[in-house]
Amino acid sequence: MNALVFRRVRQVRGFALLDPLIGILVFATVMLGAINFWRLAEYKCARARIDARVSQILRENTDYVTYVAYDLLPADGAELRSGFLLHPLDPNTGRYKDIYPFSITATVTTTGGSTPAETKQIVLTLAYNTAPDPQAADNPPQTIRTNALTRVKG
Amino acid sequence: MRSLGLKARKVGQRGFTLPEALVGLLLTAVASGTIADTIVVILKRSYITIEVTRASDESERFVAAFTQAGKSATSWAVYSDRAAYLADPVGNVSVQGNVLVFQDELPAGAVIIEMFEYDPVAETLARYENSLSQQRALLNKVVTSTGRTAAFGQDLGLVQAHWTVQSKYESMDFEAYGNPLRMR
Repeated sequence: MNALVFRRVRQVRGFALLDPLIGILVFATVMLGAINFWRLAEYKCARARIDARVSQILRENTDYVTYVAYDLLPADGAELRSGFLLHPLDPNTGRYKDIYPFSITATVTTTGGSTPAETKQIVLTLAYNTAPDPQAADNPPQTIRTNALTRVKG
Repeated sequence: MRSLGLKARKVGQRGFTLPEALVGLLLTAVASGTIADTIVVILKRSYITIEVTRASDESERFVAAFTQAGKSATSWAVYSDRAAYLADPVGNVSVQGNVLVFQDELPAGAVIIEMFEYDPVAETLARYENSLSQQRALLNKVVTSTGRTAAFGQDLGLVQAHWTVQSKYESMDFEAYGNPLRMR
């Protein structure tokens, strides 16, 4: 009888220290994986929108420089436009937020000045601030320069 | 031999108790719920991105049509609204307005009209070809861009359009520029 009781006591012992530790480790790994998965997906979606918006802004400003009258071309160093890349809706306030500031400037090189053959080479530089990776806490500046666009006065 | 084996198993390896099994189930449920929630959030986020991208692409196609029409046009004019255009296409030309008309001419002499019309009440931006009854494209939830009172304008030969699409998820600004090659 004593032997039976002793055996039962051994059988209903609590977890060893290692058991809950392993459980917590597995649980934490699952949670961490889920959070990182979510963060990566969020970043990929934001990145897709940012890239599309960057392309759109560059296209719009290239169109402007292509079609505007020669005499109205921007001066060297002039800022063509500034603002925010994205305006997502904030569900808490019901208003659109302004995130990721950008500015676009023109670098203009003029040759053959004050002659009918005067030409201007225009390079647009888009500077914007976005998170460089999914876990980034800051938004360092990034720049994109277009190929030179040539306009002839005559 | 068989009974000895069973006995050894019963003594050395008991099953889980009910609380242990419940705790295990609870942890599994929490982990599964977290993963499921994460997947749902990710799918929802992807859906929002697809929706916003679709709206953006629609406007981009509009821009492409605008620029292309501008390139091939023999003339263009801005009007305050459709009524002004229909009443007097020559006399009612305006510096800025909500109707933009490009006119092109085929080698055979046939005239092609391409009209862009912003309706501030319906908040739509429409594109028509050949006649005002043939609508080719329509954008919804369109408002004028910040600081502007009309969708179209002209400045020293440069015709331009500015509009903002306010979708459920994002506000998107668009600009389009054109200048007829034959008018440069």
